Amino acid sequence: MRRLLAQVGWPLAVLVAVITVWDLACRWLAIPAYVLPPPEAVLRVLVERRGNLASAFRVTAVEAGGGYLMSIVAGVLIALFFARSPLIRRSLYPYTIVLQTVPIVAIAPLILMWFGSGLRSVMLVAFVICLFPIIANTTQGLISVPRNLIDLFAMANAPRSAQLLKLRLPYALPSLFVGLRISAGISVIGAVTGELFASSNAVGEGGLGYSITYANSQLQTDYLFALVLTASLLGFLFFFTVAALEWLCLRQWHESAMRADAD
Amino acid sequence: MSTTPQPAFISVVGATKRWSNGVTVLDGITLTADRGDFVSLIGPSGCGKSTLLRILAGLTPLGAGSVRLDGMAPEAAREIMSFIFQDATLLPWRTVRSNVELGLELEGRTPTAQRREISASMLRLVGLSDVAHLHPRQLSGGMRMRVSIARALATRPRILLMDEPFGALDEMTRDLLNEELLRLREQERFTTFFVTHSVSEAVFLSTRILVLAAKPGRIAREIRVPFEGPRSAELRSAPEFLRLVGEVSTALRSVQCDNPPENP
Repeated sequence: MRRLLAQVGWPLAVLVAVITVWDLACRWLAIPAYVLPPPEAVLRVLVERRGNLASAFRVTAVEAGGGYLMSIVAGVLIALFFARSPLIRRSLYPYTIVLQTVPIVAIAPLILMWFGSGLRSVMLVAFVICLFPIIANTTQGLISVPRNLIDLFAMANAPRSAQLLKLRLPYALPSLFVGLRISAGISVIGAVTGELFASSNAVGEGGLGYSITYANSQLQTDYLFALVLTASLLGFLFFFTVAALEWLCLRQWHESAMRADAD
Repeated sequence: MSTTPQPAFISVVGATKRWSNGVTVLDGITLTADRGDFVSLIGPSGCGKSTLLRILAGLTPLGAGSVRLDGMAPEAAREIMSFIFQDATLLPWRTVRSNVELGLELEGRTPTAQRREISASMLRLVGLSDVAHLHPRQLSGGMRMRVSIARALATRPRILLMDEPFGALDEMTRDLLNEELLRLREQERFTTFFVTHSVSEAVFLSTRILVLAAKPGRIAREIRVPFEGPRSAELRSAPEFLRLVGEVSTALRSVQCDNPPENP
């Protein structure tokens, strides 16, 4: 019980403090609502427009989730390929770093130009931004299998497939989860960014990014706040789903999960 | 070395190994071992004792010479061989039981029910039946090494290669595991090559001790350990034991003096 209080209590106290300061600032400094809406206005809009928010949430969740899942499949396959030889890694790894270093806002318009401004393109933007952390971490895990373990499998004359399924993949699982956790959050960033560009072509059902552009252009700052909160909720949900999955998979044997358990 | 009409169980003739940087790790090693022998390899670091073990296992390719284990080349002989590494090399995501079954599972010839039976009896053999359901990280270093031994024995090997398996353990655990290894050997009758840095461990366990010299790695001396019958912990304080420890230590020291550290 005390542990729960410490875990939830302190973040909650911070939240209350921030909201109080925010509220007081709006009153005393007489900030216009289109610059900084007071907390209760944001709350009101959250309730009143929950229908809009929910449908925008759904659209963005599908885009971010779809891109995320695609990046997991592709990322793991690419990592498996990279783990085959140092030569492959040396020749191709620099190009994957490009994925990470070129700003997504620069790639997003290109993707939309090439693939049209539909849901598929936004998904692709999320996919591109999620890919690198998964490739990098999974490759790292796959290539750090200790020599003795590989020799152990060699002594048993284990076929390549057994070595992959029973040694390399399980060994790389904790590293894969590191990548999954990083990408869970940024998949939402990718989807929202993608929509910012798609919105000029007015996709029928707008997601959070599209709605943010719209709210911004209409100076509906309270709605904008509500949308940003909804977007962070989505990122949070992704992150915690992955964290829970990680705990389930690793709690029995991996240090990181065990330590979190003991805290 | 006496010549026998039939070829030795394990024979190494003129085994030579050079690294790609030109260093000769092993220079013309020739040795034989009979069934049931327990051969310890001891020597200064860099004498190639671990390399010799890896060559016997077929994990390191031989440069020149030949290696025969029960008439087979190392790679083919893996069927009748198990390797025990310096660390326990358990798979952390598997339970103790499932780690012990790994070898049988990878060979793929033993049905699941029978694997269960074998792992249970192996764990009984090393006194770990109570922890079969635990994961390796919940065990002490000594227990992990026992699991590693149980896993190696589960495939009923006729040759056991051990690369300094007890080096990381405290002395008491090491002594206990030494006694256990002797007992297992009485039961399972495997032929062993054992790399170690500990002279008393080598004398306690072996039927023969090969003292290796470094640069290049070669056999400097062979010392037979003549104790008859089953050995027990008391052996460690017997005068004959202490005399042999002294003899091996002296041999080891003279080998180290032959190769003073090089000062460039």
